[in-house]
Amino acid sequence: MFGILTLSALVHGPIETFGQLAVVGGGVAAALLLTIARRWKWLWSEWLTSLDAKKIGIMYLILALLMLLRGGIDALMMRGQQALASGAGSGYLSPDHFAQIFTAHGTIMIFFVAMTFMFGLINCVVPLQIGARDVAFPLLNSISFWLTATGAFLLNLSLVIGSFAATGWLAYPPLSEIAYSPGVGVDYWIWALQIAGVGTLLAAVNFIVTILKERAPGMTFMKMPIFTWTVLGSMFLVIAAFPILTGTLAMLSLDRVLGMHFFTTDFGGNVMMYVNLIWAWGHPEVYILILPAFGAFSELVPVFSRKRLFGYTSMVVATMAIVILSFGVWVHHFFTMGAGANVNAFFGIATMTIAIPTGVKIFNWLFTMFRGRITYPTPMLWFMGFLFTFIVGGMTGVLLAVPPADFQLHNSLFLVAHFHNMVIGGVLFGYFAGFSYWFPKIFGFGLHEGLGKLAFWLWLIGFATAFLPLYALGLMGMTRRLDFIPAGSPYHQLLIVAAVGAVIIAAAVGTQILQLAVSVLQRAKRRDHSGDYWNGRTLEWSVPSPAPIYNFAHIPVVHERDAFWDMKKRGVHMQGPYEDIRLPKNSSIGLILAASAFVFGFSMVWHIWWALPVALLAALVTLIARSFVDEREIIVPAAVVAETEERAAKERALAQQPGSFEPTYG
Amino acid sequence: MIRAYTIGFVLSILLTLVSFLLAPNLGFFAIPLLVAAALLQLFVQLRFFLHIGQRGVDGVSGSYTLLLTLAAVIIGILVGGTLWIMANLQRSHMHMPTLQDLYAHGVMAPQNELH
Amino acid sequence: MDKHTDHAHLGLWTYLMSDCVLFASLFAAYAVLYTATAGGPAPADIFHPRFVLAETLILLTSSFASGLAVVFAGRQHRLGTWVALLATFALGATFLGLELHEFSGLVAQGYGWQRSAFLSSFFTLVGTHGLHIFTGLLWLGALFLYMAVRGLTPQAVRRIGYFSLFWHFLDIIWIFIFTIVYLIPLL
Repeated sequence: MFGILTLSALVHGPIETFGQLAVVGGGVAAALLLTIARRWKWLWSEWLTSLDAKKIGIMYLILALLMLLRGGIDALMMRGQQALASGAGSGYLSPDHFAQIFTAHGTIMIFFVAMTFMFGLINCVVPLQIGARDVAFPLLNSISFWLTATGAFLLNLSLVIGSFAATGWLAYPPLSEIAYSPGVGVDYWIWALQIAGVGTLLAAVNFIVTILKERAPGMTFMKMPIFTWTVLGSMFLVIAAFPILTGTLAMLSLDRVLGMHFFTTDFGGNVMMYVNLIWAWGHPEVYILILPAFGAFSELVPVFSRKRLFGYTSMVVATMAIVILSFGVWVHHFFTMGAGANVNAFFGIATMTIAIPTGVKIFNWLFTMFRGRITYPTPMLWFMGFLFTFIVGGMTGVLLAVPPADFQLHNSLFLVAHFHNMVIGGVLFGYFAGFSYWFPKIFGFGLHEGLGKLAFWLWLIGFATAFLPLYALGLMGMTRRLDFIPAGSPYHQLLIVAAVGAVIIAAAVGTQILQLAVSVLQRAKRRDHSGDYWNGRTLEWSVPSPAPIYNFAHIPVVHERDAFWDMKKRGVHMQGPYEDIRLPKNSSIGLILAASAFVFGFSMVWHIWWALPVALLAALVTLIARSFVDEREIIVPAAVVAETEERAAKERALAQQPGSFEPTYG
Repeated sequence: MIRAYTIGFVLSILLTLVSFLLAPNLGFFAIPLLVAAALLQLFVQLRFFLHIGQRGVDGVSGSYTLLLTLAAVIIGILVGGTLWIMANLQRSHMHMPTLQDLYAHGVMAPQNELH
Repeated sequence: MDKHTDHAHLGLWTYLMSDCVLFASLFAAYAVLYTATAGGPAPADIFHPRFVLAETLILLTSSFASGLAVVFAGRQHRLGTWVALLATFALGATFLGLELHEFSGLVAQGYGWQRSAFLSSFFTLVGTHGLHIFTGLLWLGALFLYMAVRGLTPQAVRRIGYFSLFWHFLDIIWIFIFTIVYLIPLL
């Protein structure tokens, strides 16, 4: 009846039990709070069934923050184990548990923190930046979010029922095959990623069509903001790369469940083909993550240098060059796998080449700052932090791109330091910059600057303390993923330093949470009255903060790049008469489809075969029922639009003198 | 419009027959002809069934060609790259050792396997 | 709506491009594994080109019929639309039936997907295409239901266009399947 699921799946060791209680406890606490505050209906109609990209974006951001906490706890546990487990002691984690933790850490950070944070910012910003009311396919947007959330839920459920994969975040066979991972862990990993992967793919379809077709009149491609360009490039990469992940995970699952032989060590299977295919996805994936971060910098650096972006055309060319080149380098993740010299040399050179368009971007930002009137609010600090750390990480990347060097450093802590350098210094700092830059637009009030600056410095110092020693450890020969350090090895002191760094990072994250809390409590003090919190250049700053549900009362007509700056120069104001605006009605389809995806994934994990067609049938019936629904829109009457716009105009007038360009932040 | 579909249909039948009946008998030229026939039929169907590259109100916008080109380039890199890399790996290893090979050479022992 | 303003059509095309890459990964796997027969049957032992030719022509005709359906629907020709779509369905179902016949024959002989890497990759690649065909038939069934209840509305006409795009795409993938899976390995 329940496949291989039994009550024993709930029984874990002491530490895992703590995790179990935390997950279950968190869920129960949330449910209790909602019940006491009588906010279930509000949650349902304002958030869960909303098709508004701005709301969906906020839900993505909340998911990213929650997953950051989970992934960070995993990191602290690993650092703790390595600091404690040396010589006589064996730490506090069993080898299998340690393996599950490093697997979960990587999987969560890439798929459920970085990707989710990215889609959060994209949803909140892109439609506004291109002068649109919403994305091209609002229902699909909701479906994408809920599928991603389902993947995250499935992964965290493995803490409660069963166990997780103990294979590393990419689950190489033969270890991930049924013979060597006979439990449910790898299946949880596969299905969490398959379901979230479909969500991501559909979101990419959505944003590609949105950017290609929904731009405001007059906004040609070469007048689009660079953030939008980088999002377009990133979404092209998703379409190109994610199906490879889907196919490869499917093949692994077929091996495990149907006894196929794609990657087994017998009957003709080819283990190395998995590594090849998974990295053909894996490398473009990191460029998917970094491009929008670069785009965020291209938005905020001009604003805080009070100077337009230097080299717009070369930025666009560099972005598209990165998109194409990122598909030509994936072998650098397995130089040591035994390919010949010509294959390794080709991919080594290609890897070094991709540093060039990135360098173009860095110089363009520097030239933008040159002779600008620069200020350093928190977003700009994140950019400066990125500048120094990412360049170090990039250089160690070029070093690793040399195959003979990589033979020494592959899978050492040098590698671990390099990719954390890129993902933290590049992706995370970039998204933190974007988050602190666009926060006033999204929520209507600014973030506490002092705590923001403190959080930045703690992150920077914490990152350096936690990861620069790892470069040294790698050069000293320490391998990654060790749960035990032999006595007398020279690694111990630096591992303690790294553990201290992890604690500093934890303090940084704590400061960020404090900043959020304080900012919410003090929101009246930092209210964004004009919608133009930073004296911005692009269209999202032309609407009130937070944006009205319809975004723009009139779709703007664009004449120049930096469309809003141009509007301010020409003295253009939004005014009546206003019209009725049609917006998508709420829908629970996203939730229903995600629920059936969850049942499908959970049943695949626990071999509850009868539930599979049930889940699929539920999805089919839902879609057929939806096809008969004709009324899919609500109307915001012109009077309501007028009232909203007039109220915003009054608030704007209160905030500053007309025509003044002074920023409102403090 | 029906004319376009009919032309596409007839050409596709012809190319299919070329692939199945003619190409296998051409020895050395079999594979190039099969590849050419497949690609030709692809273009025929893209043009006459999907209206890619067709001008006028029945045609589709340039975005379609852009996305198609992107996909084609990626597929070329993925499949070509995979074949090159996997062949290269095969050359570096005499053969993929089976489990029996590993037991026979004392590299692994059955009683040590995790099950 | 013409295709220039119909964003759903472009969205479906974008999705299909990603589906092409999915098939490409399965094709890549097949290309690497088709010689890994593990002492079991090789392509030449189990493939029958005449049979595949019949399947191919049936699917091609089905694709053609779906194109005709789009033309008739655009001209509000209700009988033509229904006949063309029913033909599409019948031919598609026949194709799928033939494919299942081939699969069950192989399994009965002991040449199932567990026998070798070659067979695993064969069943997965061709089977994934078959699953897409099956999904298309379900979609067509849902379209029949909608048209029976609501008639040939503009919404229905648009949806026939979307379905036909998907259906043509599947026939295009099949071109590469019969070439790469069935014909080239037999040379």
